[in-house]
Parts: sequence; structure tokens; C-alpha cells
Amino acid sequence: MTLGKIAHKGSVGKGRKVEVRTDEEVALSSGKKVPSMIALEYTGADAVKSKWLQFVWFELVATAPDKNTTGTGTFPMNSGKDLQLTTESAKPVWGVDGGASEPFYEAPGAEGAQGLNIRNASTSTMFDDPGGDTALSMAQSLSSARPKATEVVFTAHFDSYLMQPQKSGLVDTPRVVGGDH
Amino acid sequence: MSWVATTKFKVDTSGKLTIGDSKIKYNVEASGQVKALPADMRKVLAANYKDIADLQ
Repeated sequence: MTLGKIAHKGSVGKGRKVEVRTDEEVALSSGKKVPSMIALEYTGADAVKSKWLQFVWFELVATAPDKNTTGTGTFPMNSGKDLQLTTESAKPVWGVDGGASEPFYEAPGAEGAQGLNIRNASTSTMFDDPGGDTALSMAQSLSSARPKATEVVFTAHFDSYLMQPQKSGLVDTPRVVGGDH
Repeated sequence: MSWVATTKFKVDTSGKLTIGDSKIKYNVEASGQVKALPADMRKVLAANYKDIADLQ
């Protein structure tokens, strides 16, 4: 793994910190290396119990000399719940970038795959690289429908939260740290 | 924290996309503040996961 460039570093309590890195290269267990990822990392107490909760909305816009065209349709999510593309940025269509039955990023999706993550006693890190082949395919379709298009831009907007257990009597209930909406 | 990932695809004269310029660019905004999940996000959560316990 090649660490990326630090985009944010902050404290979320005594001995607890969150770091965001961009353009990180991650080596998968298969040996494949994935470049240009973003890493959201928590270091501190309760790391093993910490989970990432992430919300997202997508937009696809083709630029042409005469006018811009906004893409429509749905983007397939790991959860199995397809997310409608937002057509008015002032009215984003939010979805949860989580698992099939649990909302957390690390939870198994509809086909069993988890969002890429590393968790151990001291850190909980999630990795993401939105878009991929699906965005390319959708961009190609929109471009084909707009022959004068010179550029197609896929944008994914995220709001991410670190969820940690909080002692409440004998019951652990989740609390949010590091959120910034 | 909020972050945005942008991928730009250039379209060549034949209408095909060139992915050479498609590297994801990230923009991260975070204050490090500790705060509760906003009400609008709770609604999104509830709409997608019926069995989720109430999150503080």
C-alpha cells in the first residue's frame, strides 16, 4: 500500500483522530493494485467496533457548445438498492453507501462484497474510488445521446460519519464522531 | 465530513470517451467537529433500512 496525500487531519476526542488521504494506492489480497483511492481512517479507542456510515448522491453532466445535458437513470449500489441520478443539484437524491441489510460501508452488499476496508485494534480505515466502469459506461451512453458533447463529468458527493459505540448503562449505542455536514 | 469525487471524461471527435483524463479528483471538507447525525440523513437512513436502531 502506498499512502496518499493527507487532505484532512483532526481530533475527535482524547487519543482519537481521523485522517483523510487522497490518491492512495491499495494492494488487494489478490495482488491487484488499485490507484487513486480515498482513505478515511480512524485511529484510537474502539477502532474494532468503529464503523463508517456514508451517504452519497451522484450527477452526470455532458457539456456541449450549445447546452449542457444532465444524465438520468440509476447507479447500481453495493447494497443492491440502485440510486437515482440527481438531475437538480439543489435537490440531491441521497442514498446510503452501505451493505444490503446494514447501512455501514463495511457491511456485506447484496452480492456479499464489502466496501474495501481495514479494521484492527487501533485503526478503522475505509477506501473508496467512486465511479469506475459503471460511470464510464453511463458517461458513454450520455455522450452518444449528445453528439456535440465535448466532455462528460461524473460527480459523486459524499457525507461520511464514523460511528462508535457509546456506553449507556449496560447497552452500547452508536454515536457519531467526525461528522461534518 | 463531506467530500466530492469528480471524474472528467473527454469526448473525442468520433464520439468516444478518452479515459486518459479521467483520474478522480477529490475535494475534502471537514472541521473535525463531533456532532450528531443530521435529521435529513436520519430520514435517508430510515428510508433505506427499516430495521436499523435509532442512531444518536
